[in-house]
Amino acid sequence: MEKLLEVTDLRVQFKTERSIVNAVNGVNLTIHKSESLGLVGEAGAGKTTTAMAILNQLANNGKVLSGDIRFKGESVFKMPKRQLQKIRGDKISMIFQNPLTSLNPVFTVGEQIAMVLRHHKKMSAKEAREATKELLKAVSIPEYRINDYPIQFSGGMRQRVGIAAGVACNPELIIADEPTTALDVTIQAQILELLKKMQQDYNTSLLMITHNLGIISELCERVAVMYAGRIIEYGTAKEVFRSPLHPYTQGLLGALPTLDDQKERLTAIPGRVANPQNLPDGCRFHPRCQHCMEQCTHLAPIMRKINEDHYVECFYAEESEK
Amino acid sequence: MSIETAKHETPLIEARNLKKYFKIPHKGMLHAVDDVSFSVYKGETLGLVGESGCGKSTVGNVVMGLHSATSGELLFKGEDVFKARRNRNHELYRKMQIVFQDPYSSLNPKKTIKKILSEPFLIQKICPKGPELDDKISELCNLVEIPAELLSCYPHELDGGMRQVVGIARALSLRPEFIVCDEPVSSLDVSVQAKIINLLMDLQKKLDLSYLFVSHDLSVVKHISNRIAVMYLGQIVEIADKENIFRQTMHPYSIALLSAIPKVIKDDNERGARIVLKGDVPSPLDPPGTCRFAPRCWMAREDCYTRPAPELKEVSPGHCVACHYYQISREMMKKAETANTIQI
Repeated sequence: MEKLLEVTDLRVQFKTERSIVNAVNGVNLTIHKSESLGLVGEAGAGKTTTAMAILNQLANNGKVLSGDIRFKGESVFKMPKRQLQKIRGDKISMIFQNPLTSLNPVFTVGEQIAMVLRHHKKMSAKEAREATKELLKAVSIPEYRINDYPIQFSGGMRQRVGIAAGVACNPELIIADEPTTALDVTIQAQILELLKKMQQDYNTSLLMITHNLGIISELCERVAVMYAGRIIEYGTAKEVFRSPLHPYTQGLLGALPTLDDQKERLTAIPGRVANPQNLPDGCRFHPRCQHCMEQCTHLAPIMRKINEDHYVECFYAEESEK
Repeated sequence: MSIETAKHETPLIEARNLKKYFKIPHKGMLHAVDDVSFSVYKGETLGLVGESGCGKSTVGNVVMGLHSATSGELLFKGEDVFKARRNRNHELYRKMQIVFQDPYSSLNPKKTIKKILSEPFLIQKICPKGPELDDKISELCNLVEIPAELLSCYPHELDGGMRQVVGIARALSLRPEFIVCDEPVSSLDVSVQAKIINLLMDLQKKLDLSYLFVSHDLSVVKHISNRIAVMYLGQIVEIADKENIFRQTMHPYSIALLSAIPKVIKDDNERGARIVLKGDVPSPLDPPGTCRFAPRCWMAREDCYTRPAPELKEVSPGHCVACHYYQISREMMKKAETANTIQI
């Protein structure tokens, strides 16, 4: 399969007045053509930072310490600004978490979708308007609402506008950053079905960022679990959810109340999420890990291949697999 | 506790035809809670689920007296709560408490944890400041496992999970019998969420508490509740034992809601049909007298739009549904399952 996006050893640091925040600490990630990858982790795991780095859009106090991100073989950090701008919104598009803040309140939704087309595809105003109507229809928003402002739409419809704008240029990669977190379950189901359909129809690759394991399981082929700025387990969604190897992934699945099985008690992961301003030595998860061994406290494990569909970064998992 | 045995005793909390309307200037009457009746028995958890804007939090607020009800009755062990509140019956205030959704805004940022926890005792004049109060607070901290060194901290110094523990401790301070939990875990991370749910369940066993657990997350509600009520647009559309709600779901809205939840799939054939509801929740401003769910319903028939709204009626012991066609909903669901995903 053709490699579309390749992230190698990405490290991102933010400097604040008081401290240094190590948000991403060596992420390796590959997305192939028309593949869907889910990036899952708790708040502060570095999911969004990774996504922002892909578009080279980190906040001003953020700095890429090392690593590279290649889109179709070209490094986004070395690209001239103009070329990068051409890629953003055209080849790689992003769907944001909060559709109210990601849409501009003073433009109609029609204008905002058309803007993408006019800028990237150099369409005339009239062509863009026609294309916008088609896009709105594709996300099941009635055509006559093209002249309405975002404020006149409900949360779910706003997110559908965001998706319409995202797929307008037929991108090769869609990055969806918690696209349904702000929405209700029934609306979430609508958006997920829509994303699935869009991905199939346009043959797009998808990077889905979420903390909801269920969404990943239903929408993505592969999953990468992030903790404290590193990917600690990676593989096909089926394999990872059926036999999770990393104690953190096991903990996450145990902490999740589910509809079908009869868990008497949820297994809470002890302690709290590692503080990115002061990360522990060795394995970043060791202070919370019940299988912590001597070497875990000072040696950082590296990603090992268990089989074709499963990779894990943990000494304990390696030993028990032997 | 099964419904059968529960029916013979007086419920701890009983709501009868509760209504809460808000007047929206120039627009009409917003029916936030429209004729809701339920009861919570001793030691039991009643889960209240629904989407945003369905009035589930308003129910909690009306029960707690944070909103005054437009009409209806609320009984605590058979005693009229609204009347007692008008007479400023402080005794009753102690028996009913609430845990709020957002542990960031529900704790006063200018007060230390110790001060926050001592307020209920001082306001209710249970004991004056001094060693006795300190004892009470440390007892409370032991109960919910707040480390003593945190007492001198301010809320912003704690993480979300610990803040919610403080919120729970505050609610427990006066030894209530009934607690409204208004989305207590929805702003927390999964691993922390599990800790809070476990804590709430442990406390329930230890102190024989009853909960009204309001949440939009069905899997959380299923885990913690004995019975579940599903709300839609200000009304309860289905209420039953949790087993029945999940195995014998009858209302088309509950069926759709259950099918909409993304699940972690471990086996290939685990995923059933997903019923995707069209459109959004309609406005609760002056709703029609017909079935409120009909415009979004996937099995609505013509007469659903013309017949008067279905009433919540008991269709099997302890299982109440408000739908004209509840008998055929499961059959329709089966058909949908064979067709895999249906989209309407």
